[in-house]
Amino acid sequence: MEQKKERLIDVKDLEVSFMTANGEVKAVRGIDFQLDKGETLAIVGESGCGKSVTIQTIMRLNLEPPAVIKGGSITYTNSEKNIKVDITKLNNKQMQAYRGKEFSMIFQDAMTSLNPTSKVGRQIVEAIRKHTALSYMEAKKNAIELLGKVGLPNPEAVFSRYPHTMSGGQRQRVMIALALSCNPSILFADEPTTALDVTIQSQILDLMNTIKKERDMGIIFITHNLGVVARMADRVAVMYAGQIIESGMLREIFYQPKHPYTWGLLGSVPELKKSENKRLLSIPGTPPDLFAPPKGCGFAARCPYCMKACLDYMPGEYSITDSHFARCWLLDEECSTRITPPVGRAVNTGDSDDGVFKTKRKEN
Amino acid sequence: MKEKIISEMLDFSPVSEKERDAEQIIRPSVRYWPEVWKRLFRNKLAVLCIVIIGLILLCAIIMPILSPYEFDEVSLFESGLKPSAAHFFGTDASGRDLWTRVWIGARASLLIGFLGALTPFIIGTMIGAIAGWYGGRIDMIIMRVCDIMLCIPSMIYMILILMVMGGSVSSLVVAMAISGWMGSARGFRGRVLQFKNKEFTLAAKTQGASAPRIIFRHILPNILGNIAVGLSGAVPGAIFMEAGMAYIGLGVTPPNISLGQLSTDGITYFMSPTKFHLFLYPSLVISIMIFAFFMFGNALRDALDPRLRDEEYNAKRMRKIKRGQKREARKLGKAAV
Amino acid sequence: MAESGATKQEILLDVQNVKKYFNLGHGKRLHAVDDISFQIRRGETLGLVGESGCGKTTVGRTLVQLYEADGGKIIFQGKDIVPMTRLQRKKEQLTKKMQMIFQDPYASLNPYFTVGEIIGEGLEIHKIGADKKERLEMVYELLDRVGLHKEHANRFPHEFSGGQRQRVGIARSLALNPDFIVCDEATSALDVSVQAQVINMLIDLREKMNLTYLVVAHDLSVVRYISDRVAVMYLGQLVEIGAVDEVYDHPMHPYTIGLLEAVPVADPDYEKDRKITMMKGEIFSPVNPRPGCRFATRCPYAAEECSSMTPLLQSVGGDHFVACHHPVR
Repeated sequence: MEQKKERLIDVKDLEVSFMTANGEVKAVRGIDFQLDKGETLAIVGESGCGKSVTIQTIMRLNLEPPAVIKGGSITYTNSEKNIKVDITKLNNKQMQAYRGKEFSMIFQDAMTSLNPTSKVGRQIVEAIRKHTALSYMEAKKNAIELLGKVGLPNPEAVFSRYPHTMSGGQRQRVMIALALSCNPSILFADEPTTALDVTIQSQILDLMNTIKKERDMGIIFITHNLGVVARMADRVAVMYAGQIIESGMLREIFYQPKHPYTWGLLGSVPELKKSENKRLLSIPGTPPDLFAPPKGCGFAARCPYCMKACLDYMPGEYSITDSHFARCWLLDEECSTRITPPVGRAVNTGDSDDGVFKTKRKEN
Repeated sequence: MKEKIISEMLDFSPVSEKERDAEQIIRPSVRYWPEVWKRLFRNKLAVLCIVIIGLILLCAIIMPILSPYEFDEVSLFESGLKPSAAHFFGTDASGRDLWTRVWIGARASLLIGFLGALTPFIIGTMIGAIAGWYGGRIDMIIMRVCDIMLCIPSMIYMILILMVMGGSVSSLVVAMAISGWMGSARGFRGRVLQFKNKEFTLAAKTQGASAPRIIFRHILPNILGNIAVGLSGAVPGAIFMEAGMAYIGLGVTPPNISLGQLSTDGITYFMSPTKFHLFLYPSLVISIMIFAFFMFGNALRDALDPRLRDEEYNAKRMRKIKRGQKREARKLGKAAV
Repeated sequence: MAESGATKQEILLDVQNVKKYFNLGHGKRLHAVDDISFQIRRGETLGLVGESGCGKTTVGRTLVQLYEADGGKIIFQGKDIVPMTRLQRKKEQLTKKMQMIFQDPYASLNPYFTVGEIIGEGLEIHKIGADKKERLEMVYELLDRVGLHKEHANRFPHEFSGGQRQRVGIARSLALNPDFIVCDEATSALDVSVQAQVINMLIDLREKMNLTYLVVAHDLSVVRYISDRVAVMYLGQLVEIGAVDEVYDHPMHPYTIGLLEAVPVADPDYEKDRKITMMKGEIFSPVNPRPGCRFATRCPYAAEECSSMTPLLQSVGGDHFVACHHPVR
């Protein structure tokens, strides 16, 4: 099963801050993750946890200032084109060659990211011609083909329409066409379906899955909707207060979560399918203000299993399997507290029967 | 920061919920208006303007009282004197003390400035609020009246009203009110329309709030900043308008005086080497006054926009970094040499 | 969650053939709410679901008289409120009895009011409590009820997080001790963990204060969790209404079926095995709608009569009503 996939993005110890007159807001506080070819990584977390900042940093879309990359590296590799760069070291001009061509992004609100005064076809043609040497007619042919591919009926007619004459779902399709126009190897999607109705959301998700299979792209998907994660992702990273607190394969996160925050997150989703009416698990309080992040674990103040160590020290990463790790003191071999997770599913994986896995601390 | 964590340091005993507060707000409480004042007073130009406006106000109030001369006291022996210790600004052709006259004139100009800005604004706000809130036919009628009145140059109303009522501070204010309410009515109507369907207004409605309460307690504070900026621009406008009226002979009638009137009278001596001061001092005071009000208005606008603060901070930070880099480069250059 | 005794309760709100149109000019008329009827019993929660633009928010706003209905009856506690004048409504103290929780926790709180002033505004308007001090005590109690602290009363909305703000909104709606609350997408702008907090709070408050809710939402899972009965709306009309479990487990209207199938479920294995029949097309705005079933353009089962005859709500067993010529069994 271990087929070596090509690595596209390798983020190491990335730290991003926003400088304001009131002080430094530490939006991303040292995160590591990787993305392989043909893989969808979903980053989940509450608003303000730093998930959008993370992908905007990879695309270098944050205004700098106020944003500052305080440390770490983002290595982008593309063996076909023989590219290997550290994105954090690039300046804006160098970055422009990557945006659109290597990475592209779809946003939550298509209306604000499309130019309202220009026909949608024209916008796609411009994007194509910016990165390739195609003539206008060739680019137009490509654009119409793309518009058809993203499921817009009658693409020739759509080509000469303005964004405001289209519905939300159609605009999101145009956005996807625009994002795909230069055949990028990574697609970033920042809550692409949050503003859409469920029936349209379903269509768009389906489209994205088809495209991923066709083009073997890497997708980083940001959402707070766990249903969407379950439908789309191969791997999941759970972010909280600027850190990845748990990361693993899709089923590992949904069925054997190890971090109390992930438990809370999964337990707080009301179920559509009938199950006995249990009370929703809610997480009390609100996320910490990253203007003054807590000294210990970011989740400590809201965690029902908070211990003294959690308030004083930041837990390191505990790996449960090769692909699954969590940052929680509960997983430490010296911690004697044993908690049966309120969510997840008992799967025979050789875990201790109480469902809590103890592991050795990684040296920092 | 990355200290090594040793097992002995870790305490795995549980912490109860009471010992930590998940609902606490760490950031210091920031109130809007105190913050605005703080920003305003950090701006050196704004402080200068406030000082100037304060000084002018103070002078206008106390200088005529302190002065040994009356503003209309004619003394033929002292006609056309140049500025001296006895007469700071000299005297005019009838021997009246210009210092006293300028400050008396400043009183009138300031009064016209403040009232001439406030009255049309208040009238306009009321009318605009009614139009915006009730909408429909009322709105249509009010706005058409507004449009028609805007089509006629305001100078025509001013001249007509001043000819009928005669030149005085009150008639100037009335003239400004009648010719100037349309702008603020239109502006305020737009604001009311903008806020009418905001969720917090709807919420106030479901709480049973009446229309005046919603307009004045909910909507007005939200646009107070814009109003303040508008008003601080309207004050110098009114002063300017009065000076213009004085120039075409429709200002306050003698023996009453205003700065505009004084400057107009002084204009005849513009080329005169001996009586140039008769033009210089009144127009200087009026210019400084208008300048101070305008700059204050601009500073207020900046202070009202909190986003500017972070931008300013970051611009400063970037300048510092660049300076540091330059210094470094210079050092390296020297080392290389 | 469903109270079996609820069926015997008195009818608190009886909505009969309510219409709300918006004139768009140029002879265009938006039929936002077109002939809707339903009843809510005391202590019951009715969920109202549908996609954006279907008119569900307009229904909520019409009920609390933010909009005037263009026809039909809204009988609240035995009295029809549609023909009442403003003064009559004031006398009936309708604003005290009917409240609303708004969608956007950022836009629904006036940024220039302290949280204490926001919550206490209704008390001040209706002159409840002897003086300022007594009212402040009431505000503290309300803050406590929604899990916030006394000290928060002096802070401004922008200092709070989304979930905290929404709880301030809830406290405001509770201040006048209402009987009936419209929750207009009260949780849709919140993060999941915070959403659960607010949902649990709404359920607790319903039990404690004997409240009746109309929950307007597009999130079907939330509606299933919180409601006793559910009504599905499409382009200004009800297409299906019934007990929650009945509608979710045995949906009969093709639209309800499509809607339920489209919702992604937070269970990877279930998602993998699930067959999704994609609903084609998109919802259009109901401007000058044509006769016939409004869903016919997207419906996989549309027949001839669907585009000529408007289907009426018909019982398909007990409390379950469907407006469809060919309900799916």
